[in-house]
Amino acid sequence: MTDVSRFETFVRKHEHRVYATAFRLLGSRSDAEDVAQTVFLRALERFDAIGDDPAVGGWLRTVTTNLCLNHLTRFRRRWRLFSEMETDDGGTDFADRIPAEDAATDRHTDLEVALRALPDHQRVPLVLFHFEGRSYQEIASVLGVSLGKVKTDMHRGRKALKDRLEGGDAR
Amino acid sequence: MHADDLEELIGRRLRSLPEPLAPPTLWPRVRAAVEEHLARPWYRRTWRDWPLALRAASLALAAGALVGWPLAGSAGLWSAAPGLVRNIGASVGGGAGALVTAVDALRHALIEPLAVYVVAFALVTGTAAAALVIALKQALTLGGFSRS
Repeated sequence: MTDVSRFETFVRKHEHRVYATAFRLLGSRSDAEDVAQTVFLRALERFDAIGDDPAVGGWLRTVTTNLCLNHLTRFRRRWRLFSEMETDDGGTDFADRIPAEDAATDRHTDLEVALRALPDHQRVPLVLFHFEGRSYQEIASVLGVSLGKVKTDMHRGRKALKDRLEGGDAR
Repeated sequence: MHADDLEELIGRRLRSLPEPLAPPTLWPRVRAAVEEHLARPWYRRTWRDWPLALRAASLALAAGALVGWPLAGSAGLWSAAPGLVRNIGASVGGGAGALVTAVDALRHALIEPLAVYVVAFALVTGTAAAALVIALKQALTLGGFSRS
């Protein structure tokens, strides 16, 4: 039986990394917290095997990413479907997607908020590429879409972020 | 701006962002879920979380069923069982007796000749599947760890 205090030490050590990955992939604090909780319950099930493994961080990142992608697709039946139903510019006006309470913030937060405001099919590959170190080909494979679509979506997402940054600079 | 320059610019800016911190409510939520998980009776947990004695007993039972079934068939124990059922059926009514007779005939014609092969096939494929699952789990675990 797992020692709860030992497991708490484990959770405290990894909670920020797991939460950050989930938050950036999902763009929602409450969803990220739900996923992080599930990740740690999965870790509990095999804690005797992985608890002291120095490479457990990689396992946690993989599980977190997979659960986030499952979470996103669960509400859209299939990634491909929802991705290709969006219009070319992401469906809605980018500025309209930024929560009002996040609008007046510093530069770092501004970019973080802009990232969260991107549509899922642009935000998720950007996070996988820039934060999780996945290649374009891996991302296409994980998301089940073509390599060309991944590159197009990511380019549009980067352009939206750059426009947002330049808008912030002009303010 | 060229796509490569844009990738480099946005990548640099994104990686400079501070990591979002987990909310202080996360551990209490996890702890509550852990305590609920640990408080479950054994039969509501996954097989891996069953007490060792129960896991051993369930394995022995499964092995006994797999091995004992064809052995019982070859020892003729099955031939005696339908007779008992037939007697009960006859006492219940002619319809039930006829049904038992039909099932008995079906067993003789189809099930018994195939039983040994089915059990052997199940044992071989079950063992192979278990070995494959173990190998895949190890590969996935190693693959996941090597990514960090």
